[in-house]
Parts: sequence; structure tokens; C-alpha cells
Amino acid sequence: MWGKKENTPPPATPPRTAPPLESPVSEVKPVSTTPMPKSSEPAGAVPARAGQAHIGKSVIIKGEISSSEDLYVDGEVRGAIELRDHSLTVGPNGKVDANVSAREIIVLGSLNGNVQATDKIEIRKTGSLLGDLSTARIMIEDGAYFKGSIDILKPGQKPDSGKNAAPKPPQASAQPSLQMAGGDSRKP
Amino acid sequence: MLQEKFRSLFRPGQDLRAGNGARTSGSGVLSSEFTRSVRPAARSPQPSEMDRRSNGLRQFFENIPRDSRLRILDLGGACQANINYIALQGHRLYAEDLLLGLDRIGPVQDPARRSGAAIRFIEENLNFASEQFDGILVWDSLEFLDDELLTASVSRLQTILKPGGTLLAFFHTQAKGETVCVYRYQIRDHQTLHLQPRFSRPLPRAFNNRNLERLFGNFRSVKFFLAQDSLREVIVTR
Repeated sequence: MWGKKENTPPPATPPRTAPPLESPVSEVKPVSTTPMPKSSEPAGAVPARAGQAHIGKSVIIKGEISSSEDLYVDGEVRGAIELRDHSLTVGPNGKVDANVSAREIIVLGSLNGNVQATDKIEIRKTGSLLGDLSTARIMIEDGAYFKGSIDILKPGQKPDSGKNAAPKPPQASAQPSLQMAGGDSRKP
Repeated sequence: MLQEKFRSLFRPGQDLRAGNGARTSGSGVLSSEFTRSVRPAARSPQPSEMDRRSNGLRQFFENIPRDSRLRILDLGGACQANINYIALQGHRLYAEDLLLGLDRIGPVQDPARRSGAAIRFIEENLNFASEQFDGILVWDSLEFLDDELLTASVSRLQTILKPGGTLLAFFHTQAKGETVCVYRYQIRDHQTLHLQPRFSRPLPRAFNNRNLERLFGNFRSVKFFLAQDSLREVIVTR
């Protein structure tokens, strides 16, 4: 019970040495331009979804965009956007000066152009839309700004050609150009 | 005598500490007469949302053709209720907020700049082709414009209204300088409006039937409806 304690050597303490030199070549970690979800996002904001093309807020695109997937624009787009059966979301920082054709359009930022949506258009309270709208359904929150005309389409009805429509946005250059102010518009 | 009156307001044995005159200590209760006498003066009630029957609105919808695909201009700004009522009937609704446009221009003190401001106001807010609209809902937007803007706007409204088209406008009956509540007018049905307060603003001038007839002198007819809430509804036909 009271056996001798074995003379156990004290635990070896690592010798004090200088910290190892850092490798001169540091690993570069890829930086995503996809914004991290923030708790400070405005209430009712529509976050970017997985499987959705995303244009970050530092990106400016001049030209035509066509896509066969949903698109989230938080940067600037000037020209035209064609999404057919998909949805366009203009984020709170987004500025779109383009005619838009999509299934569904949600505006939290600014959209200036004529808009056709086969399903619906939503202008949230932080949103601003200037242009002629043609859609089956429309929702305008209190506080949202809209200036233009609204044409509600009945099933099977085609949109008018838009006589005396609101002034159209300036035409995009023939050659689409992609200006990268920072980051890129990769999909997440 | 004053002391007697003061004592009579309290039940015997009550603590007379009144502070601001409206409280007592312990479980004492001031008599209702004293409570009434020291109650602060009632403030005028804040405008609230309300429904309002509108004979002018009813006349407006009776005047416009029954066909669908009409073009209606709403100068009170876009709101879901008016979109639901007008656009869902098959008409094309144009929305513009005239008062917001007025605020963007701001007050123009220099008389020499007023005509330029009027031109800019028309270009920014009433930039529509001639004879485009079957009906125009002006609401109360016109009465807050200065003389130059008012004349220019009415002239443009006549131009963009189709022959036979109808315009509905509201004018308060209060005196010049009196502050009135500016509402957002939401259509409930063909003769009912839901009024939603936006802000208050003083009237730059007083309107009566005579000067309204002069204002719309180039139109074919002017018809007035006067309601109990001091709002004059005017139906104008080109």
C-alpha cells in the first residue's frame, strides 16, 4: 500500500526553442464573393439560394444576360435579362437598368426597365421599379416605389407591344462587356 | 371662496397633495369634478385610417366606358388596392405619385425659376402622350401645387385625357394656410375609398366652385360633389 514510489523521471518539458519559421510560400485560400448571411440583413430580405446564379454587389455587367437558372443580382446590370422560366431577384444593393423577362421577379433594390413576368412580380418595401409591367400577378408592399404601367395578363393572354410606354433605359452596347470591379460572378 | 371650492372637490380626510393636480396619495380618489377640471386639454385626434363613401368615384366609374383594356392614370402613387381593383378588371393602370414629384422639385422661391421648375415637373411626372387616358384619378394632388405648377399640370392633364375622358380630383374646403391631412386613397369598391394618412400639409390657397370652374374652364363639363368631411369632389370631362 505504501509501496515505494518509483523514481519516475519528471515529465520532459519541451526545450524552449524559437518558433518555427513560417513557410515563405503561404497557401492561398480561395475567397468566395458570395455574401455570408448576415443577421443585419433587412427584414424580409431574400437570401441567395443554392443553385442560383449570383452577381455580387461589386460586379457591373453591361450587356445581355440569358440564363436557364434563377438569378440573384446584387450588383449592377445594364442591358437586358432573359430568364424564361426562372426567377430574378434584385437584391437590396442591386441596380438593374434593363428590360427583363422571367417567370418571377422580386425587387428589393432598384430596377429600371420594362418587365415581363409570366407568373408574378413583387416589389418589396425597399424596392423601386420604374417601367412598364406585364404579369399575371403583382404585389407591391407599402413603402415600395413604382412608376409606370401595369398590365395584368389573363391566362393565355399575350402582353401588348406597349404603346406610349414609359421611357426605355439606354440601349446596351452591341458587344457585351464584363467589368469586374472586384470579385467575380461565379456561382457559389 | 377659492379655498372652499378647492376643499369641496375632495372628500373629507383625503390627502390634499395633488402634485400636478391629478393624483393623490394612498387610496384616495379625487372627485370626478376635480379630475375633469385639471385634465389636460384634449388634443385634436390624429387622423386615422377610415372608409369613406365617394359619389365622385362612383360617377367616375359610371362615366368611363364599359369596355375592358382602358387606360387609367392614378396620380396618388401605386398601391395594391388600386392595382387589384383597376388592373384586375382588365384595364391598364399607370401609376405616378404627383406629391412625391412635387417634393423632389421642392419649393421654388425665385419667380424667374418657376416656369423652368414647372416644365421640369411636367416632364418628370406627367410625361405621357396626348389623348392616352380614358380616366385620370388625381385625388388631392393638385391643391398643393403653386399657381405655375397648377396651371401647367391642368393643361397637361387635359392634353393626355382622351376626348370624353373623365378626371376625378379632390379639393379641401378649408381656408388658405390651414393644415389638412393628405391621404392615400385606396379603392375598396366602385363607390368606397379607404383613406390612409400620409402626412399633413398647409393649403397654399383656398378653392371654391368659382375658381375651380375657371381652373377647368377648357374642359367640357365640371361637376361638384360636396361631402360632410369638407372634401369637395370634382368630376371633369374633356
